[in-house]
Amino acid sequence: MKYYRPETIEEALELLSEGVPLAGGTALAPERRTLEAVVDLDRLGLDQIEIQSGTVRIGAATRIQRLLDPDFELPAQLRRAARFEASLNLRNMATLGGTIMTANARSPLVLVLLALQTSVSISGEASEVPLDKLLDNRMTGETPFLIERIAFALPGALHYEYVARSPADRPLVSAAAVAPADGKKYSIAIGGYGERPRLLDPVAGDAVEAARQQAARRYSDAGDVFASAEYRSEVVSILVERVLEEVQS
Amino acid sequence: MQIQFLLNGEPVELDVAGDTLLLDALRDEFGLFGVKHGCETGECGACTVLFDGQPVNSCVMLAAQVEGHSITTIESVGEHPDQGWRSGAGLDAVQQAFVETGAIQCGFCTPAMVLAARSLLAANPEPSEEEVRESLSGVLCRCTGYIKPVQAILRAAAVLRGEQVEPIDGPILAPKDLITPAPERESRAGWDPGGTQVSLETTVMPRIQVAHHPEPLHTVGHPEPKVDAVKLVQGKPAFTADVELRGMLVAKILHSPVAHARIKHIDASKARALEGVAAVLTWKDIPRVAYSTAGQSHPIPGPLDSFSLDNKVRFVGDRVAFVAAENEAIAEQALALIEVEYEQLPAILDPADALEEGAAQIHDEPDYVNFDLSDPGRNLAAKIRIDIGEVERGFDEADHIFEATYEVPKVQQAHIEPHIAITYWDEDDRLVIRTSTQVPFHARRQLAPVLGLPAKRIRVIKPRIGGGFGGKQEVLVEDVAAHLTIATGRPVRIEYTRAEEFFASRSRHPMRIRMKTGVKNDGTITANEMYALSDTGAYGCHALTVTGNTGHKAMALYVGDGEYRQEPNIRFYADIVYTNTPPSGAYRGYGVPQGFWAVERHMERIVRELGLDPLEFRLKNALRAGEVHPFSTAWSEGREPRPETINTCGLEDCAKQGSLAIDWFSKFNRPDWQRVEDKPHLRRGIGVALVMQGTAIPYLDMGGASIKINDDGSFNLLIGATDLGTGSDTVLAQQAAEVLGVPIDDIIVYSSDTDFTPFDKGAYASSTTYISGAAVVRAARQVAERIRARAAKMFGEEGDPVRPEAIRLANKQAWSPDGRSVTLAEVALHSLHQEDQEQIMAVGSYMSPVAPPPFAAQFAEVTVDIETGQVVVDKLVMAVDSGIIVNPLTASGQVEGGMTQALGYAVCEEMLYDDQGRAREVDFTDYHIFAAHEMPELQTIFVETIEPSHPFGVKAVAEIPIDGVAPAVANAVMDACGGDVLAAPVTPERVWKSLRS
Ligand SMILES: Cc1cc2nc3c(=O)[nH]c(=O)nc-3n(C[C@H](O)[C@H](O)[C@H](O)COP(=O)(O)OP(=O)(O)OC[C@H]3O[C@@H](n4cnc5c(N)ncnc54)[C@H](O)[C@@H]3O)c2cc1C
Ligand code: FES
Ligand code: FES
Repeated sequence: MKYYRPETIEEALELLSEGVPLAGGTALAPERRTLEAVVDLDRLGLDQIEIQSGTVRIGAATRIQRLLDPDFELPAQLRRAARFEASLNLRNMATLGGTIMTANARSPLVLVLLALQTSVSISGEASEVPLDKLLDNRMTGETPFLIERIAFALPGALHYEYVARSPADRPLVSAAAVAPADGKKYSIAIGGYGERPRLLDPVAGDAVEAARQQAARRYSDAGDVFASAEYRSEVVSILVERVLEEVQS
Repeated sequence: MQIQFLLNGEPVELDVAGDTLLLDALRDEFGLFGVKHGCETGECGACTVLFDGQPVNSCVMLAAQVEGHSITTIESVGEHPDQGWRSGAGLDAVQQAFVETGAIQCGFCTPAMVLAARSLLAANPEPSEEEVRESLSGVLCRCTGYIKPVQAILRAAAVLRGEQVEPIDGPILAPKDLITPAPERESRAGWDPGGTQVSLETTVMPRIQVAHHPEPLHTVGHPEPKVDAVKLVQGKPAFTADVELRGMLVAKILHSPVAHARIKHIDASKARALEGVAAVLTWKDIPRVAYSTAGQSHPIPGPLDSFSLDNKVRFVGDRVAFVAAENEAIAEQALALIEVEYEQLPAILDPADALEEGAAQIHDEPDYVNFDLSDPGRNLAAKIRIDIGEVERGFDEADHIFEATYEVPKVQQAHIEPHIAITYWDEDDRLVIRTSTQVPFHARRQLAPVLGLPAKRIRVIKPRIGGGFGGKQEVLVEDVAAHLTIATGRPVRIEYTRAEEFFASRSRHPMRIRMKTGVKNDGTITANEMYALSDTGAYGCHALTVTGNTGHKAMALYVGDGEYRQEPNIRFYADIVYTNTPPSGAYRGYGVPQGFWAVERHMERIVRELGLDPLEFRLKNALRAGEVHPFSTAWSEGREPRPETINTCGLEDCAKQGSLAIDWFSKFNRPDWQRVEDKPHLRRGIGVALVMQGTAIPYLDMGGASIKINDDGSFNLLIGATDLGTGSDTVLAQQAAEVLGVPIDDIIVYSSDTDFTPFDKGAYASSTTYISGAAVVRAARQVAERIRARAAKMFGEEGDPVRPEAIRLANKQAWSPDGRSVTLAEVALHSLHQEDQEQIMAVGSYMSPVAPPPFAAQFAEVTVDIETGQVVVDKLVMAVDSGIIVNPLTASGQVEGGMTQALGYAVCEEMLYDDQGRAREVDFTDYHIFAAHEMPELQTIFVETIEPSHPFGVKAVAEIPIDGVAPAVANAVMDACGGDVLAAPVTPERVWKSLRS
């Protein structure tokens, strides 16, 4: 396996014809024997966090632990989700980009980012891609792409809830709701089952029951070895109700 | 490629391949063995290093990633305070605190914890407990339950801030009366803070209801630091993996991808042809010897049904071939080149199917060796039928009959150090096996026929062990390395991956247990019956004995009351069946947690049904001191049973102490307490379980010890007993020191090496402190006698004669009644160099005719979300009667760590298989074990009794902590919301389901 450490994004993009991006390496290192080459993003300066006029921009190579840094006024529930994403040792290496690329539905952080209607900037693409779309297309492209940063608007309110076998276990069912600052519809994401967390269709503030039903329907087949569909479908509706109530109050 | 970075403050350069992991570079290139391997996926934190000052996992990082950064390992931290003529800097404050507080058990996670703590304290000199716990969240510890490491870090923080901290040097807190919910801490005798405000209390000592030993004890009963703590806290190369041997090969196993098949064809020629491959072995290449992998005394109480390699595979993960290669990558490539054709056979995955007529036969080999009632034709590895008293009459006399079926899952020991062994021929052409084992002597005896060597040509060395919990009471990987050393003549090393630990090692037997109990209106139990269907998996290792203990301990506790107490009616039947799943085996508790899940859930349901008081009902029917252990007349691990009377039983006091500590009476069944303000969906609940265990196997378990004096009056204590992190080296040294009248650091302990140390059956059955301890005392008493004789001679040479019996050993001296003394160093010099020269030394061994049970009351407090079924365990309190506590730090460490493992058994640990028999859990993400930042409050109380069968009155403490948590948690859930979960673990979905039914 070849290892490259480019100093600029241009250089990195060129090298990506040979190999895949290496961020923290926490997911990639165990796969090392299957890889031709890796392109380390360490020196590309993609680790800035900026909060400007209500928009948060975070470089893709930002380590998850940095989201917990009190210097940045990120929503408390986003930090909470970041904290549950992985243990301290992993958060110190793992990055936002790597997490987005590897997360399944049990990822607290990606669930919350999804509810925040996060958009993703990809090198060489003119416009930003919604995270929702990226999660579907993550692993399908022939040549690896490079996420440079993500962006989301600071929410009016945000809440995350989950059910797990123990407090730090990965969720069996989870939900996050965002009350947008502009008072439009509420954004809700649900997780715990499958390859990725899911966005519900946005709901009006008073449509709690509709949101519950939507969530229950989405998880009507969500059975796997960890929980039955019957359980997930009911409990996700309960969590959706709770997070909605929380962001409304 | 060339990389440059700062390593422990020094700039270094390294030439590495792009795919080299940082962990491998640090260990292999720099010899930094303090960085440990516990997994491959970044989940355990054993491999922690500081990367620019922050803890990270070096096993999921490429070495190339550290270019231009700084890496710190444990090797840069602290040193032994005594460096001879050079004055040493000593341990660093964090290390010192870890040593003092008993924060180190096996020590495998300790370097990681120390580094994480230093990183925290560098940024935050005044951390809260929560912050400390967060800083440890990346380091899994399977031994301690995290209390003591957390306390150590808080203590170190205070020391580093220049504050005064409370000494932890005993004597033990001894409240005169029963403990009240908020105990006043008494100030320690002999410690005067001199008016300075103590900033911090280090709460690592358990609370103890003290039994006053007839003779004052000086070392026994004191919180001595562990004898191996200083080396472990520095990350010294003390474990099996921490050696380098020239030309050492790496071994790998090809595991079966199918659950049940005959190997129709196997061709290893391509693998053998691969450059860098030294040997490939298939079943065709080595002799076929039936044996048992269970490390037990001779004769093995179970079937001989295993082969190093066979032409049949019996579970997904079973052995197909062995490879030895120059490195791991080549070994893995070679595995992929072995061509195997399987003829698939129907697989049995559900134990209920195993006994069905016409079921596939898992062991159809003609060379299968039966034991007792094993019957491979029916897939029966063992069978137990025990009737005590007249069970049917008891049922007839009952006013109520309660019947139900309970279930417990398969769970993993999950020691952080994987199974590992290194084998090589020494200069005498004897085969040396350096291995992480709980049973070095059994391993030698059992491997000899398998390898075609006489036992005398095998030497087994057990270095420090990174946790075992029963998983290493198994001869699991030693044969693989040994066969490959025999094949190649070269040193070979085999180390399991974490995934292999899950799919190809041993685990706790899953069981389905049917209970039937007769009870009178007044709450008297008239008869109690258990039937256990136990799943031993593909091989019968520990099949009979584990399940036997399920009944032998759990069904012995409730004998009934009145006339039933005199002649209890108890039935215990079990079928232990083969299935095509990974073998079960020994896991701390050894069948007893399974039994108590059923018994204690059942008792709680009876109590609720009849409206009785849970504590009163249990104590009314429980076994008491002076009574005969009901099973002692019926069963003894497949050997002849002999009646045994219970001498000591502190169960009632345990129940009292525990209920006061958890404030039982203002919580149990109290709706006002159960409701949580502003959270209508939450309910609190409290639950209890009473439990008992055993201490060693009577008339069987034997331990030996030898002690010799050195010129300076210090002693070498050689023991076969295998400290696997439990602190047994320390408590054995304490017992020797007590008899010899010296401080514990005058005892140099070495364990264990089949060439040097006396035999010991090994670390299991909660026996070491008791059995090996009594052996140590015997040896020490003989040595003391020789010392007295010598001292009497020395006194007589210079003055009035003194009778040797009148001489007292204390403070490293021998004292005559008239106040004269000679130091033990003078005694040693006199005996070794000056007159009538002799080596003062002795060997002692001990076997016990009894197995005095420890007793305990386990309490749990939970909060249940009645809409989602989620259970959060808030508090666990355990009050334990383990006889006299030799070391309150190591003993409470056992209880805290045991409760933490049991907490996993209660709520989240479970190994499941898909319909092809493939494991669902192969890592610590899916198989969740508790981390530091999610722990409930834990409290340990000891209720001492003085067990007359041991010189210092001890009983066991190692296993009992794992018995009661799961039922206590489930009983608490029942108290909270009526949820009645019959199958462990108590997952959210199970609670939710039971609330809806
Ligand atoms: C023990 C453990 C348990 C875990 N459990 C879970 C879990 O249960 N659920 C879950 O969802 N996740 C889980 N993870 C995944 C974890 O979130 C990821 O390991 C981590 O977030 C990956 O981040 P990284 O920066 O280390 O990525 P890397 O390992 O460096 O890369 C991961 C992937 O992302 C790609 N990538 C990285 N950065 C970029 C970028 N900027 N642009 C494009 N591609 C990029 C890489 O090419 C690679 O394919 C677990 C990880 C570990 C180690
Ligand atoms: S986390 Fe690295 S060895 Fe387990
Ligand atoms: S002391 Fe932590 S794993 Fe053993």
